[in-house]
Amino acid sequence: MVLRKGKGKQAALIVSLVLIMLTIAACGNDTNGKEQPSGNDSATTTRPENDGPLAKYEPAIELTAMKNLYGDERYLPGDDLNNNVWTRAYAEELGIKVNYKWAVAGEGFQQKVTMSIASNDLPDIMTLPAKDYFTLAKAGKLADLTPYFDKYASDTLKSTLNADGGKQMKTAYVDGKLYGIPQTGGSDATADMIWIRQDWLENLNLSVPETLDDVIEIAMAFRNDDPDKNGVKDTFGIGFQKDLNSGTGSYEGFFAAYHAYGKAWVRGEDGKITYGALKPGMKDALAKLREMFAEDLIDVEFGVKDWKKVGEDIAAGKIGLFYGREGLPWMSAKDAIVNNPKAEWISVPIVSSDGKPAKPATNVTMERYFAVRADVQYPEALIKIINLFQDRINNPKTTMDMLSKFGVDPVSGINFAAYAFGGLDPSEDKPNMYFQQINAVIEGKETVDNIHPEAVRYYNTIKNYMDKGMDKGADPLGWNYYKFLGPESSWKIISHYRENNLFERSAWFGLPTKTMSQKGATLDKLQEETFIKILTGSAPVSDYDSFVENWKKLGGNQITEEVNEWYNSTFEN
Amino acid sequence: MFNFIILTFVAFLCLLPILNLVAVSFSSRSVVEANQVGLWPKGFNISAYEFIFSNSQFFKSLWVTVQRTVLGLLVELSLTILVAYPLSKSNKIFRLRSFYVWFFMVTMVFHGGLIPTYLVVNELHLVNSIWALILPEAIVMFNVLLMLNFFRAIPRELEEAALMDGAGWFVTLTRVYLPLSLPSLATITLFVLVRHWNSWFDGLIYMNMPDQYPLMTYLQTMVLNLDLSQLSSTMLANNPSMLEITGRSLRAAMILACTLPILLAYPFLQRFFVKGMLLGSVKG
Repeated sequence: MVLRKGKGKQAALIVSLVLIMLTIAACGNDTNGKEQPSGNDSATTTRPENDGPLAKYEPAIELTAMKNLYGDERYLPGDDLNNNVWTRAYAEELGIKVNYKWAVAGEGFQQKVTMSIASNDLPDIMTLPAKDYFTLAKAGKLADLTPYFDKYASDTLKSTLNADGGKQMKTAYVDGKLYGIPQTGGSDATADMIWIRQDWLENLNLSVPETLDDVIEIAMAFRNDDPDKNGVKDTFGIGFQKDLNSGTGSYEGFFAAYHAYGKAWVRGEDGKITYGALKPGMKDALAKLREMFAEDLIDVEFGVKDWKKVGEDIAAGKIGLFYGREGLPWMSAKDAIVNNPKAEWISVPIVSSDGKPAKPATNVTMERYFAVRADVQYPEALIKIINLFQDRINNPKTTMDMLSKFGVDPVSGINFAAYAFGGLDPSEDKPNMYFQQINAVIEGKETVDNIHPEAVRYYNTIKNYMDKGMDKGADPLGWNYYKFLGPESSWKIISHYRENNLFERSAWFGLPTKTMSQKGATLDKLQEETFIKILTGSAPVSDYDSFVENWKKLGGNQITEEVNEWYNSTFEN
Repeated sequence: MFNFIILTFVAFLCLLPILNLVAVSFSSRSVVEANQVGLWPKGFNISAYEFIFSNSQFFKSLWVTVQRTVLGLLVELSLTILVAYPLSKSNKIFRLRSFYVWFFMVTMVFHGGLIPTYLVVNELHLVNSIWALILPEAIVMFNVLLMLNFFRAIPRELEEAALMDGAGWFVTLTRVYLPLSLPSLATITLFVLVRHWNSWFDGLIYMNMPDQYPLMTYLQTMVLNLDLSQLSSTMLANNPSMLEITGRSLRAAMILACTLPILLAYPFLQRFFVKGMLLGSVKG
């Protein structure tokens, strides 16, 4: 018996040793086994003679790619991701056969990128999250595009990338070399404005606010004077939610009245960047909010409501005054109108607490970069592919047919642009241009033939809505476009900000700095808790001073240094 | 009677969220966005369901899920039985038993982690095939333990009688043990069914194209990603049909359409959860 047991153990030991050996062997022998395909291996292909932004490769080259999707992709019958209007255009016009290795929507994208990097299985051309872009660029895994960019980027692409003065483009440089093209986007759309129920203003004989005192007066009336005339005190004065960096029920617009900001990094005239929440006006702003809360103008439950919950109150007709962004005509403001056809909204610029004009904060997030793997034979192919998108969509000379074929087809509702690789919009928002063009046509200064075909579409809807006497029921989306891009729209407010140079653009928009990734969450929590406590009256206003001290001590000073360093190294050389 | 009322009340409380989901799925968008739907739909319409069932991806994903569930069930049940049976024997009969028990137990405690697991699956060239969803979790040690303990509870005399009559180990397993183990088989079947039906993460990392996603991965990408906060209003202006898919009614309808089949599986398995099969087989 004893003997047997011993034998069993011995055998177990041997078997486990063998297994360990096998595992080690399996791990060892495969590292060199797999050669990376070189991407475009057709040895006979040479660069076209008159090489340029849209010159074709003969014979065609092949490139593998990856794609992040929106999640709602629909295709024409017979089409799929590897065979659609864009992949056919790449093959026919550029001589580039694009094969998507994988595609995924939303948060899964980051997972798949991590997996691809870990298994050393990167496609030839890539859409990379910012963090991975910099890691791979520093590790030498990406092709240097510096020598190709000037030669191959088309004029449209260059103007798209330079619409903000090239700021976003500059973030793509690593040690002076360009390894990728940033997916640029506009920041104007993040500016706050005030949204007010116009029918409530009319019910109470109030006028549009011009100062912060006016706003508070309106809030008082909306809370106490039954603006919806239903005989019940069921409306809130002004809508706020619990997060400092949210779009609907935002604080940024309110803080801006005191020239302070909840989240933005402000670059002063001396060139130093400081955190907006440390600005001297913040204490007064918090004291004012506290006063408003004490007077019952703010929902007592605001501390547990996020922007969606506040959106529900807006849609239900309980909130008629709040700070929000340009997209409200597509969101809860629209729902409020569907639920109550008498409702009407207006948007007005944010107001100031003193004589100095209030400047709304804007921010932009650099999320993705388009890049090429280091060993690909023709790195410029990526730039050509991106050129084609610019040529079809953002080119001022593009036509309605082109837009229906490569952009959104109004008949089927399919957004073909979603299948393009490296689709990027100008780094200043398109709606700025569309608003100018549409309203120039409405005022008779311009003709429909001279404006961008996408603007023509919006113009037609808006015109139709106006011609039918602004009947909200006639065309379900007419109101949306009218309030979004029409003569009384949210983009009119943004264009007012632009004309008067009123944007406070957050100076920092890079990757989280080292200290920020370590301590940012703690600092954010400290800030939100302190602010909410002061607001609800459970802590004295003087707590703000100790918050400032603590914020600096707990890593804030270091973050400020790092932010300044990032700014100087990115833009000042 | 009192218990009956209390229990009915509690059961009804559990039903409330589902009833609300049903009501939301049949209501119109704006009423839902104003949070005014309780247990009865307002602005009744079926556009959410029309949208789901007009999208071929739903059926593709359903098919993938059915495949993985059926295949996964077959593979997992047979492997679990084949592992649990020898391990249920004593050390005397199966001499390496202790080693194998520990060999399997290690997997309950230690995991390779996400990236090593992915690398293994990738190197085995399973990525992008249905087997990537089945093989990596083909044996769940917890189920083996369940089965093992159930086998142990079966009186040894039955096995001895079978061996005496000339049956081999395999026949003893299939003719004696398995028919007596229906309750535990049903339990494991249910576990496996629910796990295969519900898991979404493996679909996300092992499948390369969205049209190969199992149902829950598809549901996950639809419900979590198509949020208004993710969409710029410029995009909405360009493509207003996106508005349709951001509504809560559509999500509610998706959740119902995806979970209903597995909910229906419960009552059918219920009847196997019967004990007392051994009664009368061993006397004295």
